[in-house]
Amino acid sequence: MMARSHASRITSKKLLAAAAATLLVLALLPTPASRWVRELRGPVEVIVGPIQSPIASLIRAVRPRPNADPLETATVEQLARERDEFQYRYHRAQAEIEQLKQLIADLSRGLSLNPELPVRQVSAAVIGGGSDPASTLLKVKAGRNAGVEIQSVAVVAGVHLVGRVTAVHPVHCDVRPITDRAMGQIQGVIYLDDLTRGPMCALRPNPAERGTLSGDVEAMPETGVGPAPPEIRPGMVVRVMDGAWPEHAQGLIIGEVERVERKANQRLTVTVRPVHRVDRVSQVILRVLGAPPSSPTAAAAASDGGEGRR
Amino acid sequence: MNWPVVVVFAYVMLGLELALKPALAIETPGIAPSFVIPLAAFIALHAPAMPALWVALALGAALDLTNPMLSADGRQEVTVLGPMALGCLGAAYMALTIRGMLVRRNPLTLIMLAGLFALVASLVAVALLSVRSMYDGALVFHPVQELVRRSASAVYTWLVTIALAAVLMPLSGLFGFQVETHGRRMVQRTY
Repeated sequence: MMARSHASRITSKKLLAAAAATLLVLALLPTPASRWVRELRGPVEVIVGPIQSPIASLIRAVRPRPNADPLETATVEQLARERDEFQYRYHRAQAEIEQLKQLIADLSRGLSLNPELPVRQVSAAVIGGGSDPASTLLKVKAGRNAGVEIQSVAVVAGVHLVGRVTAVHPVHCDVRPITDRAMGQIQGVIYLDDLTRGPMCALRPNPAERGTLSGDVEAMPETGVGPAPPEIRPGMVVRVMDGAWPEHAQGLIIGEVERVERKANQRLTVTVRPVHRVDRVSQVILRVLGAPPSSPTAAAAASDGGEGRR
Repeated sequence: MNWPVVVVFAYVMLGLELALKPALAIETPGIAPSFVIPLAAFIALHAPAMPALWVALALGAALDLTNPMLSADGRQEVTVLGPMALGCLGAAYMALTIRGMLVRRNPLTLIMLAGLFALVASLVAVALLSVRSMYDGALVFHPVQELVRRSASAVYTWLVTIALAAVLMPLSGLFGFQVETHGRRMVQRTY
């Protein structure tokens, strides 16, 4: 009995020595070779979990919440501020991307209007109005340096006519909107549908209703007023067809028919409202006839979208 | 020795170690007390030599497995099995060597021994990890800093043992420790 106990004691000692030697090797083994050891953690944590979890919960319940560290609070506030700023930048960038996409679409639309003409389009911001409060003159941030010239045409959304350049300065120009009282007559053609031309109309800014143009419907361009004149309805598109305007302005949209009235002399009068409020636009595209300017300043000015009236 | 009782106590102490340590830790230098080490010291003080050494080894291995270290890039945890196991083994051996000179039933003995136990275990662990960190690039280990931190933790453990001794000492009967007797048995002379 005593001999067996002694033998078992010796075996236990040997086992302990072997275990210690194994642990020594494991302790000194480099990480790549002993990476598998971490797999043993899982079972140990699973075994300890049932006792650790209630104790931890108890401690959390009993332990008073530490007062907020002012430094930590400051860090949290700072992080929140930074988050807000980055969110703002992100949304601003998104808005800019949308604007640029829109601009590309507008420019493409404008180019497709008169593909045979060498029209250059300059996107520019509207930076203010004229000095005369009664006037709706627009000051646009593109001038002689960008190759803008008198009679250049300002449009919005690619094909919607805004007005005509009336004065050119080195870095800006003045655009007189088509709805400005000082703007003269503009001949337009009413489109019965997307492709069918209807009768002509001579439009003038409507003094009674600001922001609109009105005028009498004239004879049909090709067939004349026939026995069954086409019906003019609100919503029809009116496009420029005026020899007094540059060739590249022909076909631009003046607006949509808002009202049709018959006068005492049986002539029809239409009221046309531009799709975009031309006196409130923040960005316009100037359509300039000819090749782009070669000087770098001009190129820079030409590409300057700038900060418009927002 | 009553093994089921030892296992239950080891389980509870390991649970306390993992759950209470973060709450009691002094965060900036990372000084925290241990609950497992006082138990290992308690067993080393009272149990027969071989079981005491095995228990110390097992508890040390459990500490190794539940306290992973941070890798050099700070993104992974490295589990090193061995340093604390061998540290506890060494400390238990030290306890077995000196316990003959100690008054085992006095709670102060356990309190003092637990602090010493933690210190010796830390020394061995730091020594092993220092050697390993010389050639193992995945491990970040600053020996002096670590030794100071673990020594401070040993002092903290010593303080915790004051409370634990009040629980362990009265319950020592449950552990079934046998008093080793090596001297000649006293027999009454019949003459």
